[in-house]
Amino acid sequence: MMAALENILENALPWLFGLWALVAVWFAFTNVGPKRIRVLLGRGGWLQKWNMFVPEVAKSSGYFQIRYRDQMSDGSTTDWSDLKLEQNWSPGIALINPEIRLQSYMIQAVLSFSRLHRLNKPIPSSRHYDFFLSIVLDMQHGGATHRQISVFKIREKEKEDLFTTKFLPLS
Amino acid sequence: MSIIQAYAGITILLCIGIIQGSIADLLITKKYPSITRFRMADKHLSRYVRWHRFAFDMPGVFALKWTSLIAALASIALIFTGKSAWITLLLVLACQLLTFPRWRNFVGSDAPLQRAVLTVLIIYSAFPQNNRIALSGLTFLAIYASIIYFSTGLQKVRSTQWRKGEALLGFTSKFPFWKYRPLPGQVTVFAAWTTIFFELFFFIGLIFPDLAIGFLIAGLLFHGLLSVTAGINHFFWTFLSTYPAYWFISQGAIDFSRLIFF
Repeated sequence: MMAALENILENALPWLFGLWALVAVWFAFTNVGPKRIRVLLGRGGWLQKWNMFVPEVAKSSGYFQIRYRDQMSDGSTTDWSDLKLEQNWSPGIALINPEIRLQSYMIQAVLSFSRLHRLNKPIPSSRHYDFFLSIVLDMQHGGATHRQISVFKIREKEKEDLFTTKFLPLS
Repeated sequence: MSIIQAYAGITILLCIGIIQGSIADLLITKKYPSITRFRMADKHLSRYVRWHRFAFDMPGVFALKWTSLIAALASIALIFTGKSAWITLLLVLACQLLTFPRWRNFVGSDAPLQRAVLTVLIIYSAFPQNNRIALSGLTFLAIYASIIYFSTGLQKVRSTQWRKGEALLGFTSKFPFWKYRPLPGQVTVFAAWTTIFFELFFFIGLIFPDLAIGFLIAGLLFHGLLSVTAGINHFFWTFLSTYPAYWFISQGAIDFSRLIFF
């Protein structure tokens, strides 16, 4: 059984890997081809269009501000605070840098909100919306009971409100 | 470098990256439990992934993250003891695939290369005596890494912002290290063009073996700098894991292609 498999692989692998490399070229260099097939092949993280640090229009056309304020148990509210995704630099980030995972997600989520906003579509329809809110609600709250979250897009000194939630219960 | 050494190097480098990534995922989840506790709505999931919801929802996602971490550690241990690591590597790949719907949003951009390296390693580990299989895998990884670098280099050279150094300045300004140590204008332009040249011509090392070492050192510096200054450390290990294959193939590319295809 294993000998037969080895025999098959020995002959087929160069061609299979060659095909894989060709499909990778197709993904990397073009946007053509049936979208359905591209989605299917891209599923599971097998293939993608590589664009390491190539500026995207959406990312370079402004930046975002995520703000929140808390409601305490006595009904009082705190001032608005900026959500700080940035951390201080230390050489240790070369070894372990969990925060970059959160930053990466927040950027993706906010870009998705911005796209929907541009298309005049409801932002809560984004697949990131509830997930994003649950993460922001996770952040330390020092005895508060509820939190209101607001996301802005800032472009050339203009501040555009993408959305502001109601006060949401903290867990 | 022998085939065995090349594969050992690839396995160790990739598994270090998987261990590092798994620890980072576990740490960020401890701080923000919603990352794993949040139940993704069915309407946002493809019907092809809903069947393995158990793997990317709690407690499965947590268990598989630990499994992946332990399996990567075991793979390194097996390599050092000279034993086949195909089962543990297969376990790592299975964990990565099953939990992907959740983790893809939390730094998953190196996933395609990681999938390719793991596939090559698993097949080689199952048939380590077969030179043709071993060489096919090494050739594929060397070419795949070159394709990725070339395609990103091409996009950069087409971008006016990159050619002027503005994109690099914009990119670096997002990270605290560079915010307080901004690069002078001329250095930025030079660094941008160095990056473009490195990425565009990485494949040259496969044709001219004497240049290969230069590209590998440049790659090490490129990913090392990104890792130390910007904390983009997941790319570091995944890309470095292809370097033993690149080095091995660069030292005899023409002969190997004859052996594989004819």
